[in-house]
Amino acid sequence: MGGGNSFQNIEEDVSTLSIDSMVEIKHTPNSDEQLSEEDMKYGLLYSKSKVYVHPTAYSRDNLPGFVAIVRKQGLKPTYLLAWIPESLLEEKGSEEWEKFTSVEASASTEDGDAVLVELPSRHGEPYAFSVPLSSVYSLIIHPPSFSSWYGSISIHLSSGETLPTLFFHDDESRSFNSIAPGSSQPPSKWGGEDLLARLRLYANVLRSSLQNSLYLVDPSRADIETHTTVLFSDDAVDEILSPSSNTPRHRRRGRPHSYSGSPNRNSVLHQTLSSPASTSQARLALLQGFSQITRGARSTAQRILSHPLAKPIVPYLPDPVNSLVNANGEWSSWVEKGGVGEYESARVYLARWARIVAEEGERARRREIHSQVGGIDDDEEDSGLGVFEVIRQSRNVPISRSTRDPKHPVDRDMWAAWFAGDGRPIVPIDYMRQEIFRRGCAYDVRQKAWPFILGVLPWDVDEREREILWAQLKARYNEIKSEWQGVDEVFNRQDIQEERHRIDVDCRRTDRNQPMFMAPSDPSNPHNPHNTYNFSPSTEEIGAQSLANEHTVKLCEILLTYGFYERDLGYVQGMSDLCAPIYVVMKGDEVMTFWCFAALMDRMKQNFLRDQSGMKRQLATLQQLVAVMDPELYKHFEKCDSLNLFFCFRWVLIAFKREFPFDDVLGLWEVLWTNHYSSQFLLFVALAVLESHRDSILRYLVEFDEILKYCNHLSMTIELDSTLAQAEVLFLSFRQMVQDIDRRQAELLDPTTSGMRKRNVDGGSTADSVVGSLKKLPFISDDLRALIKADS
Amino acid sequence: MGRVLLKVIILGDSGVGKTSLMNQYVNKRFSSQYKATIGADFLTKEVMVDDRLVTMQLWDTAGQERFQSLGVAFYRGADCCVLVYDVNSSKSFETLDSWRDEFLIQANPQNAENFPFVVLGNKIDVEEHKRQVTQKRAMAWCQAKGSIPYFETSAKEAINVEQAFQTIAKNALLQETDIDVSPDYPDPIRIDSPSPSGGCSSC
Repeated sequence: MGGGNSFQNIEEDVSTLSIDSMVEIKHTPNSDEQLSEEDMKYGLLYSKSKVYVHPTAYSRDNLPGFVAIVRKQGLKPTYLLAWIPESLLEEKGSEEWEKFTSVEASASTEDGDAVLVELPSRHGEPYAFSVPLSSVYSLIIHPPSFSSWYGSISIHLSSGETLPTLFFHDDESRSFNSIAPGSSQPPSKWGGEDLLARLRLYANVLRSSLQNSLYLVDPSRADIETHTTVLFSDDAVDEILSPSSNTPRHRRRGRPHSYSGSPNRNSVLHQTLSSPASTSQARLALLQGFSQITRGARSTAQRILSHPLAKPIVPYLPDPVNSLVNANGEWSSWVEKGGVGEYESARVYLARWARIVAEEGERARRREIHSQVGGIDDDEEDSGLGVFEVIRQSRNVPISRSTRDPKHPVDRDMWAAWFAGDGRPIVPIDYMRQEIFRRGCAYDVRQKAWPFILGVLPWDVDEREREILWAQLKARYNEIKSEWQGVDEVFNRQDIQEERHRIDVDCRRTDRNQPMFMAPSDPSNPHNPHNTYNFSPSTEEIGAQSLANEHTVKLCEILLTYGFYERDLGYVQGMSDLCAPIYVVMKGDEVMTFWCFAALMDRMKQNFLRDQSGMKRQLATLQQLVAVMDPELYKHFEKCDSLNLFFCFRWVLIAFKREFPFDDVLGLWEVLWTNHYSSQFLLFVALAVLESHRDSILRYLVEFDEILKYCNHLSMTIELDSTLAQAEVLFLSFRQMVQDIDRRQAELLDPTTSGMRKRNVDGGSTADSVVGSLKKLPFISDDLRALIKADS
Repeated sequence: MGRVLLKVIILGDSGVGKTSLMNQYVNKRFSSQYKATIGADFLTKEVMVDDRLVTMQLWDTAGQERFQSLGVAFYRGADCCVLVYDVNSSKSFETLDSWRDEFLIQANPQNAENFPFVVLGNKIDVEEHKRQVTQKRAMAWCQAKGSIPYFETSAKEAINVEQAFQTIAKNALLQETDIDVSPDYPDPIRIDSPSPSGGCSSC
């Protein structure tokens, strides 16, 4: 581990040196040491503008400033990392400002002729800081990503304190918009990387192999050992993560690129761990690795994880790490608990962990801001912008905002106010749909509202007419049901027996955690009528199944009856998942459940066709949507042999039923059913989920099976409201884009405009150029176009 | 020898216990709360087979035949196919034929006649009098289909599960080795990386 030692001596000095003129942090031993103004000149080695501190989530509070590396002259030069707000520099006058901008512009790495600057005093500036590099323990570096498009660096000091996180607004920064000619460095991808590259000139910066965003500054020997222990010999991850120079050279090894064997065999699933010849060796190497981590990192990890800020993420950490929180985890139990003994793709594991930590961090941040601003709604600030950024970059579409307001659902009073005394609605149906799209329904409104949203009941009728309709529907239902109920030759027919069996098996395992469907509490009681209820063709079989109850049996009856109503379809797996929530919302009303389910199936029966054509078509449309909205992700899927988007199959087949907790499913479905924007809004929800995980997918997942595993595991981790907000933004952006393309096409084809050109250019080349321009526009297929229609 | 991934496909009627068997084998857990599998999922497990460390990737798919046209993507490259039925349901046993045929058509393995299948008769924990398929009947079928190994299992009570999957792994490995006979099949790990067993940080 070369390179670090030459700086060790400085580290010792600095603990007694104080050069901080404006450090907010009080930890530096001699921070109150008085130094005269003349002593406060520093050589400005590096400067970068438009580095912000974000004191709150509101962009209006963001503070722009300069990040700088300065040198304190002396026998042994000391290097400091500083952040100076623009407001402070402005006070100093234009000359001082000039120094910072010119150093930034020169992008020189020569230290000799550094400009001398003052580090302004910090009065009234709570965020400004300057700290000796040697007091910096570590940096947490997050490159710009889908969820936060400004890359950030947080600086942690050896004392345990954390400086305000710096956000690199590269889009505003001069040095970033024009790479200085003659610069010796290759252009960096973003400002933080640029800074990091420069820091490496003055300190040994080691990227941790335990946590990829963690960089240790002049690490101690113990830390080096800890953070270079290769947990997973998975250099590919490093390679993907650091296309440029983030990984210290000694850690970089070539990714094995010769997988010329069977093409099915290059998944990480079979190269996760290094492959010593025998298990015993593999195990030994692994255990050695773990024991090193335990010894070396336990104290550090404990310190970090026991910090109050870490609390929210602790429950989500992998068990091995989690066990450090209380320091009672022995390394042997790590191996057991961590599932290392089992086996899991390192990449899927990393991707999942990275996502969980990021999401929890984001939630914690929001909570914190929430408490700071006294509970003011910050949803508007947050919703959907992350998704938008990707589209903006790739498609140059203006910003759209989500209109959703899920915190104020349509409640009983609001619902009641939409109807006159005779029960006839006084608001138009589109208004009702829009409001339910925006707000969702309060729980006790659903039973009333769903038959309208689903179209079981017409909107513009009064209560009396509705009662008549219900009576008709009830009669009709009983009529269909009587085709099998009590008709033994039908009920016991071979094909119906098989159908009953299929339905029964599924209903016994659908939403059994819902109070209505919970298994009978006293299964041993032979007098329990439901134990002997004869829906399944052979009651003998129930021994291995969860016991039925009256509601699971009713669910079976509804589904069997549906098979008689929609004869071509029959029961298909997934239908019980669609029917059960309706049954719960309809409080077990069989007739209402049946007709709502039938109406839902009118929307969704294409999913259950024998030839699977409906599913294939929807996945193909989603594929086109990804291609248009996020070409990079599309290319990645292509590369991973994953264009079939099969990992979205379950999402589409049963409308995310398995991906959200039960109550969220209800909220999602009613939004989908409104057809407010699109009768296929579901595909935008799917796109939103993919988009909010695109970073993890792009970075870590390179095989179809990995993506499938990752997506299957998203179940119960997706946040509904933000996803819906993002889906709306995606829809609006998509619609805008289609409109722009159409307008552009019309302009190109318009005879008046092209006729005018004809006068100047000869006809042939004009036609060619029109064709050329038309070809450059993204192609919007009919299937894609259908997405922006509310009724299919 | 490089690391080996064995791809195993588990097929059978809905509700015979495919998901349960897989979870019992990999996670040593049983739950009566498993839902019907929608789409597909897989679990992986490392096992020692004849002194070789192999990784089994066990694919679990939806049991309704309607979804089988989607199976193609998963069946491809399979090293072993596990056919599961419920000993308390003759229907689930009678469909084994079509599951086997369908698999051979969809996966189209190189050596269809010798492709390794294993049959599992599950749910033997259920009271004996409910049983609908005798061991004799099942074994006769397996014999007729080219001596397919047969196990009677209980995912719930963890009976025979380990043994069954050990055989599955073994037969899958044989299949895998049969395919990759090419002598210059490169070891994907060792080619570029120096001694992976070094243990300490590589400076």
